[in-house]
Amino acid sequence: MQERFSYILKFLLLVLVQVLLLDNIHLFGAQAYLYIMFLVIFPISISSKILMPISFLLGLCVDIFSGTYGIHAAATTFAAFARPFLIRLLFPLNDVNQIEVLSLSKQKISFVCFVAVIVFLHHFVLLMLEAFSFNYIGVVVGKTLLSSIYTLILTFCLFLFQRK
Amino acid sequence: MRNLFLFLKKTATFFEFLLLEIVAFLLIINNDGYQSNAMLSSCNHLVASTYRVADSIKEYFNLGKENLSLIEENTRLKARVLMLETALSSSIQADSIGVLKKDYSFLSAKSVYNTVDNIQNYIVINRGTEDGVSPEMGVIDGYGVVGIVKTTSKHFSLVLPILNVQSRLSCRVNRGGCFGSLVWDAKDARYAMLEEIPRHVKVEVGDSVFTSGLSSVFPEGFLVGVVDESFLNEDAANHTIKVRLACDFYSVNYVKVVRYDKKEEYDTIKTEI
Repeated sequence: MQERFSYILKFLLLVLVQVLLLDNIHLFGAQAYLYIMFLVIFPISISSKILMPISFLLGLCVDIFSGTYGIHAAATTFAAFARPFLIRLLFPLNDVNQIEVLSLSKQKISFVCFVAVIVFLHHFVLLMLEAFSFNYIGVVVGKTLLSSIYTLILTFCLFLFQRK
Repeated sequence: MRNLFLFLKKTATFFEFLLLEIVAFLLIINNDGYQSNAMLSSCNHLVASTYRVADSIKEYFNLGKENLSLIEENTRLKARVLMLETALSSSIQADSIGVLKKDYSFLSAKSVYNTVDNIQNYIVINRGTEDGVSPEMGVIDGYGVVGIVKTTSKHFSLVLPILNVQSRLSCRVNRGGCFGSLVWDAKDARYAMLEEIPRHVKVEVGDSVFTSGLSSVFPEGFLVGVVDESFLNEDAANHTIKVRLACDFYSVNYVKVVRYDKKEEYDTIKTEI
């Protein structure tokens, strides 16, 4: 129960940090979308059937605050759907069955790859949906790369901080 | 039958994913039905109130800069008043004052939410229908044109700024020059493109771009920007003109809503066409 409460708290905290802080910080035309971190810290033992509606809700919360109707919801749901496939692809099977939460300390390379891929996928879908046209594909890819770098820097800062 | 259930069980996650994505896409596509989505828009009271609280904290960090720009604007306006007063007193005929009759009025507002780096940017201001704002009113700040009001709620309005690929603004180069449409190419928040200026017109770097006054949104002669670059391709019918926008969208804060007092009359006569 206590654990469940801590995830609700993290959910709210990530939404608030995103809409009140990160949405205001733009560097070279791109910004970080840190709320996707929720998919990284969420326990992997829980099925994606439960994670997907939660992700949809997470995206929708950010959408409501930025007035963007469903693009964050669609991108986050997509990332949640892709998550189990990525975990099976990147982590050794016996690790996946044993551990509860992914962390930087144990499977370093797999973990970094996993976070990078999920962040890139989410950002690409998000920015593509925002443009809603293939005319701006150059702008979208550039923005995706830059945004992913920002998000990854923030994510790893948080994880390094957490270890101590 | 058993196989069917097994198949459904296996693919349930995928169908759930599909269902959620369909809901999200319906939300995205219904974007045009703006009013019906008012629940989800930034005009929503809870969201707007949250932003207002955040903005009231943020305000303190910009007080110095804001003061400076207000002083600047004040000085400019005072100089203008002086100029107009001299012009007025030197005009001999009393009737000529009638020309200066006021058709437009201004309503000051403050932006509470502003995006710059998206492809579709929006600004939310803290005035709504209760203050007399209605869609299709122009919005300016101390430097130049900001955008056009798109939707309103009771206390807030959503502004479609020049920095939105949906926005088109009728402009002319120099006062009384040729008309064109100002659009944004989603690349840089400091520049926009002026289209449809025919090749026989001379356009030089440094020329000013003003609103054309061809619609009831803006009166003629509000500064939009300055021509930054101008190309003329060999076989093109029109100039390609890059305009440096007068308004700094990174620091839009206090704005004015332009209200055309004869708008209804104008719109009625236009429907006669």
